[in-house]
Amino acid sequence: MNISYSFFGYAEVFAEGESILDLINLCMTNSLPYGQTRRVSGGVIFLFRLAYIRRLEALCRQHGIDICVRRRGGLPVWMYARRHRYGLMTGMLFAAFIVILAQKFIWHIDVVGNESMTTSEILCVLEGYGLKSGSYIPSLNTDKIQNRVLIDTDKISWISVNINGNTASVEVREASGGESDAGSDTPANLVAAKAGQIIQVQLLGGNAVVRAGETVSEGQLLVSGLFDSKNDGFRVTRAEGKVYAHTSEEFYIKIPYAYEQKVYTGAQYCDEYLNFFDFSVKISKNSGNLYALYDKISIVDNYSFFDGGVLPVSKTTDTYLEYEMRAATHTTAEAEELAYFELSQRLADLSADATLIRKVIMPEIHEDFFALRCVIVCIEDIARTVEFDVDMTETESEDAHE
Amino acid sequence: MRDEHKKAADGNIFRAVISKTQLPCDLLEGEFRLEMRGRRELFVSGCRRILKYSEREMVIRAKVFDVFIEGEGLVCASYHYSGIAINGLVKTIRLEGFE
Repeated sequence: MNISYSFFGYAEVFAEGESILDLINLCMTNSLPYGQTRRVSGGVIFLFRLAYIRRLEALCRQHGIDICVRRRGGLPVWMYARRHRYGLMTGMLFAAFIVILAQKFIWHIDVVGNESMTTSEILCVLEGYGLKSGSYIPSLNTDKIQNRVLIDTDKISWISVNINGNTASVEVREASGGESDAGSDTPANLVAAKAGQIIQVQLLGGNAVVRAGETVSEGQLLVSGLFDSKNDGFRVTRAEGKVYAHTSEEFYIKIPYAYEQKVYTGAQYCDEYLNFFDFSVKISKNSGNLYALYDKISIVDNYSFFDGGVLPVSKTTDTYLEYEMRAATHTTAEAEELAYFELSQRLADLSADATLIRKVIMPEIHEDFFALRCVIVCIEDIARTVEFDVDMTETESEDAHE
Repeated sequence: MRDEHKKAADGNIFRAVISKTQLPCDLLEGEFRLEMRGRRELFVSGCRRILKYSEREMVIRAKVFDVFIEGEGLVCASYHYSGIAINGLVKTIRLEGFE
């Protein structure tokens, strides 16, 4: 049987005697196609598409042609017989959607090449330009997305977006850290980021106005980008270099004995959602009002094929853990341990260029709190680049200095 | 009689136009056409109605002539907008009427 008859549905129509010829002529006159006619005992069976049966029966009644519809079959008849099996129908519609329509949408975005930037961070950036799971593929302009990401994001130096089937492959190269103003021509001075005593000036450009041994305060000019050439007037340049100095810094860390402690009560519940592209359907029961204080943990499980291809279907599980704040008290030893821990965190945040020369720690025990006073002396680069604008309007020249 | 002469005259004009322009006749919609594949398949288009239908004989009316098809196990296998497919062992095809 022709597959179109099975797909769109068919009906077997039996005619005998004079009705055979009348039926054939009726079909020719009214453009009613039929196929796969066969002779049986007593007559002929014609195969009509299900869509024509109603019209055929009406015409036969009108012309007095005696026919008999013996059997109906095909996919529409099969589905109608199972119309109460909602799961089956839903599954078939879903499969048809997946096969036909879902090919036009992005199912998964694969990000490679990122090191310091997280994948979710990059996905968030791409979502701002229309590329996300569920995006309509024909509407995506990958060249435009690549250019916009490079222009608007400093952290990425190169990006490639390719769409293969339903998967978008994104390859990135992050911008290297370091001197972001390398190669810039904007005039600039170097000023002191903090107070200190100059040890060494490593000059790469500009006019040094301090020398080793001098004490400078925060914001003081160290290297000038302005040259007075005496003969040709002032000339501007970009001051570059490093100025190492002894610096001193004091930390005061205070840990109170009384504090509020987060204690989990043990009560928790979960909400589960089934996600299809951007649509979410809750598949767990409603559990009433949320707790007054709680921590929420969300876990997303993506479903995939056996060969690793990721489906646009995922399950989100939100777990709510109730907690309460209780008054608690540190012992002196605990407070001291916490203070030293915080001090180590502060010292770790020092600049990578800084070299710790001396550290003096003075603990203080008070009635209500424990404190640590720490004075550190470092050698570090205190130069900070400050750019300035130059007014190119010509003015009358003045006599030079003394 | 007058109509038959008129039809004959129209047919001559039609043949003259076709031969002058060298256009294939079957390009014109509704022109009778019969295609045979072996001895068991016939495809007929441009016919008006079937006058007789049996296993051994079929009579098809074209525009101005009748087509007699004789054989064994003849059956109109299918009909689509372009024509009828006839299956069966064909022994004789005869045309009668005005051209």
